[in-house]
Amino acid sequence: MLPRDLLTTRRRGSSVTPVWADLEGEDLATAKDLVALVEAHVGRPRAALLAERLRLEQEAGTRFKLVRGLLELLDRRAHFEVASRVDPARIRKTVFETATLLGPVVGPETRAKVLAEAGRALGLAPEAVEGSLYADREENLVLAAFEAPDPRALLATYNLALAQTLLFDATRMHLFFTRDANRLFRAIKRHGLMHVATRDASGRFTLTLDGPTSLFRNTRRYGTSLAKVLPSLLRCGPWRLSATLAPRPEQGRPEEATFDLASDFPLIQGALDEEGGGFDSATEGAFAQAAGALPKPWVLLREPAILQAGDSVVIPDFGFAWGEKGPLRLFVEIVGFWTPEYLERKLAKVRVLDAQGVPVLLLVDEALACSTDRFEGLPAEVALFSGTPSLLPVARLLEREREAMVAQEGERIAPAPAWEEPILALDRAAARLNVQPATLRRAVEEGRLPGVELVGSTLFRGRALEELSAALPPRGSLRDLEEVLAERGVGEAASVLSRLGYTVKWRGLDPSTAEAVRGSPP
Amino acid sequence: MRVAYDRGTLVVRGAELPQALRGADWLRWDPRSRFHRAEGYRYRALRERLEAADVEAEDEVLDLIPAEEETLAAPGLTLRSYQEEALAAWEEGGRAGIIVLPTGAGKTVVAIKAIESLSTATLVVVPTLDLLEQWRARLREAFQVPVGAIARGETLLHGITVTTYDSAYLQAERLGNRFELVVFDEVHHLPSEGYRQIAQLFASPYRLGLTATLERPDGFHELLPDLVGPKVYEATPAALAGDHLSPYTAETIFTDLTPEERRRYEDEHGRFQRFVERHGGRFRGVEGHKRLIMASGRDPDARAALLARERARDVMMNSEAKLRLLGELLLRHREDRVLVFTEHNRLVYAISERFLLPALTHQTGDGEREELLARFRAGKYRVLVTSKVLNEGVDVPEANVGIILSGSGTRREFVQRLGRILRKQEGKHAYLYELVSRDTREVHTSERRAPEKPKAKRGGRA
Repeated sequence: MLPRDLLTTRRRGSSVTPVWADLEGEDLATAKDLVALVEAHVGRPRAALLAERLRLEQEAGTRFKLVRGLLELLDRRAHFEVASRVDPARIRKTVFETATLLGPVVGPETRAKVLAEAGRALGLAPEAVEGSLYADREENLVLAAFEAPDPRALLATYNLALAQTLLFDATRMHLFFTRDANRLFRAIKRHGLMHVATRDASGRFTLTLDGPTSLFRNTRRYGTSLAKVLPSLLRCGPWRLSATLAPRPEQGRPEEATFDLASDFPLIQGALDEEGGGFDSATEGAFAQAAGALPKPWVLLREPAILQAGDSVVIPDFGFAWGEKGPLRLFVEIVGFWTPEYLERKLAKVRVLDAQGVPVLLLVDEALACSTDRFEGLPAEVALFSGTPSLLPVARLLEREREAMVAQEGERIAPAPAWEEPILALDRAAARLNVQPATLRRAVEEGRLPGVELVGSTLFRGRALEELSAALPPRGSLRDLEEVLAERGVGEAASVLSRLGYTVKWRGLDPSTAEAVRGSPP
Repeated sequence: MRVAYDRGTLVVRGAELPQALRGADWLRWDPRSRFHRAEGYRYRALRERLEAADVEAEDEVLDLIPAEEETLAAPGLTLRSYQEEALAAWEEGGRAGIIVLPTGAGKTVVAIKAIESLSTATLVVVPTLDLLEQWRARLREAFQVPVGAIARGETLLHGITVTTYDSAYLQAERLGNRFELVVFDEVHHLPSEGYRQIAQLFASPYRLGLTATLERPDGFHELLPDLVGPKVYEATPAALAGDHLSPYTAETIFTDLTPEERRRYEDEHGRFQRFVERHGGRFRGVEGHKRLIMASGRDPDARAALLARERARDVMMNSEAKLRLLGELLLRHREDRVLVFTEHNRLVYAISERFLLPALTHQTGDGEREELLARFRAGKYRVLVTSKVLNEGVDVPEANVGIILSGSGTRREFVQRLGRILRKQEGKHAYLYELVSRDTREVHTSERRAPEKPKAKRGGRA
């Protein structure tokens, strides 16, 4: 999305499109120049970049909006910092106080005196005081880092952003697509839109989107929401959209118009996903980051499913799956602003789900309570936090789920190994059994697979370990022994060598000079 | 029959629509969800119809934020006679209407008394973040309860909550059934195409609008009776001057451009002028200017003309003579509390850096803004340079001198700027200066404003 005034449109009959950028020729040259321009301004103040922008815009003539739009997108990939040793707000305070005492500052002498006096108090030279007075203003910030995109992808992204900006004016949108609509429906719900869906014999969806008050007037109120839905449409296989745009008489569009776009439109191919990764709140972001560290095989998924709780729908923020493609075993919903009544309603839904065997944990921010009432008698489905959500209650529930999963999967493991290889990596064996490695490990450790031994993360059957031992020389360079082991399918040599009674002698830190000796004392 | 709130609308469920609601043209069958639906602000009419016909209905529309206190009391506040009259008129009008009082006449106090009389979940909607903080402070002080705030993506809900028009617009669906009373401060903002949706999406049956100037140049104030209620009370500045407000002197001072500035001004303005003349009347006047901005997206000549006009404006507004005169005025009023107004941030910061004066703009951070105003009130700073931020309502009753360096020439802005330094204070005499570059477009701006001014001594250079 871009500021509305950066959009120019073209009208043909009742159909309106943005004035697109080409992915080649002059526009590509412009994009390349701009990426290079921003890169060249790393370490320089924003004002310098703005001055360049003004110059380029003037040179661009009527295409100045392209220049400004591309720079707007590049700006989102740039990081600016305050370049002053002392906090500029403190400098201002000191200067203005001094000026009030010595002023009014109407001539250069008083001004110099004030700057010198303030400089003494701050431990800065008068010139530094003068130069840093507003170092924290937008235009005085210094470009510290910039992540340069591919210029062609930048142009495609720009075109997509133009399409979104045009949708700000949309009163209604029709979508046609065939598959993978989960993410789309989540976006529709999240942005408060309403939909009417039909599906024809060939499985093609037609979806009409607008909002609650669209019943009463053709309102642009939902335009921004409709624009925000667009990125989630990009993953719905081939799609087409047709939007109804409200009149804009002041822009020479006195009547309603339509805007159509389809997934195969060449000028949006390769667009960067600018908004897909964002979180609804910083809290969610912090939680996702922390939860990434939970032990395998748990995989954290964002908004993983739509859950039906009675006649309403719950879309939890997160879900934990048992392995990449495994079943979802726990859902987590982070509750921001709440009242006890709100929490009660939410809890009722959670309990309906729990009865269906879908455990949901509500993480409730204590600090964001909307009333002073406390929540009486904390139920098991609720964990309070303040600031950053604690992982502890999540980890506790996951541990319970892990036990359940291991037990459940363990039942599928027969006493006779279902693989032929004398030596096989644990995770490959687990994959063949269609269980998680942790489950198989537990089964072996509990001795439920007679004749199978686990060393490190490698499984040995029958006499495989003794045969391996016989094939190894009593002493040799670590490199050579590792090679022998690798040939036989042992990935991590250290634990196997140690199991076979070898000691590794290191000469310095270089593994190529290390030597392994059987039976020698440590 | 059941009535509930759904994202800015009312939904009426039930096998059959009762007789009492038939014929209500604001109630419609929604084929998408298969029940009847009305816009949120029809709640009062809906309830009145049901009550009149004595229809029993499950009403789940309001989900009010629980109040901190059973009844709210503001014992420390007493109303002046005209404030009493205003409040009584609002109550007689069914607690849905607009009160027009000049800036400085104590609109906030009237609102506090209105909140006290209803003692219910209340949302106050204000135009700016400064006003938000100011209202919160006043409400906390009056009722001795925590006061919520919704702004800049942060939400803190309490029985009394203050928000901005922008946040209320963005969150109307979520908040529309949580408050029984909504107070619209500076209600003339409400009818704009976006903000009017706040009024339409909220179900709140009680509404109070406050303003000093009801009329809008676009005529949209005619929508206000539907959105809030009719005007129930009005007092003009003239009616209150001398009684409750300080006397003031207004003076327009003309300055000359330097020869170099004059040359640059004529050069740039001429370029713009020639473009306008070449196209006949198409780009003349306020409407013409909008057309010019539109055209500049396509036509390089139009864009060049627009840029030339901006440069000409920069020359006249930043004129050296004007800045020198500002210095003189600062010297003349070195013992006074002075507010310097300009329309553009760039000039605010140029003045701040040249005269080493504290600046207050939209860019000023919250903490610094608070500190700055506190220091100004306490006299640690005697002068404040500002852009539009102070237009509406930031309380600086200590100020007694206003200097306008550039003006947009609309009536409302002038009244509000003036009001700022007219706050009642014992024995205060207020001065207002307007600095205008001679023989430039600014002169027209100033003249456009003049007939609207209240009675005042006017003259040349003092």
